[in-house]
Amino acid sequence: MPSILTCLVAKRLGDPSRSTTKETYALRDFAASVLSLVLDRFSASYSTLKPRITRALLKAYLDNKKPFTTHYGAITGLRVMGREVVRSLVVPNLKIYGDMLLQPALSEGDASQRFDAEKVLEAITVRNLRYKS
Amino acid sequence: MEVEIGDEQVEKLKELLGDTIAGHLLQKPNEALIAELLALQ
Repeated sequence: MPSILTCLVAKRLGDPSRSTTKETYALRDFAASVLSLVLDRFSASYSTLKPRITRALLKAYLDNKKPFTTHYGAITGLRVMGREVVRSLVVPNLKIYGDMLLQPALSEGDASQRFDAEKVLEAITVRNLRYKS
Repeated sequence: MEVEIGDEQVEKLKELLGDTIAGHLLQKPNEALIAELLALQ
């Protein structure tokens, strides 16, 4: 599980000279899908697994000192946790998150910051806050 | 799931998501997602 979470929320993944930004986001998406499989398989046996992962991802999502890459992974991972987690933990924080963090980056950030902020927006909207039922 | 996106729905989305995220969402409306979000309120 630690390696899955690292691939999901690490500030940087891989060697920037050898892996593209697109590849690192693809790795975060893949880590979320592996997380989903692990939870499907083991959360019934380990009752504290899902709450512990949820807490770790929520902490990353709500930390405004973390980069957008981490927030992207945290939101993508929290979506895997299910509808109730999205409803109760993700959505209530979106307003302040968007207006306090995304907006400044989109309007005043450099190209890299704007790209990462757009990816977070994509995780929230285009890709749907989609969750398992 | 589909929803009519009128002024009332836009205001509700802005209230729920803030101007930045609601604005982005409304640029490329995803009716199913908007319906789910409005249902959360």
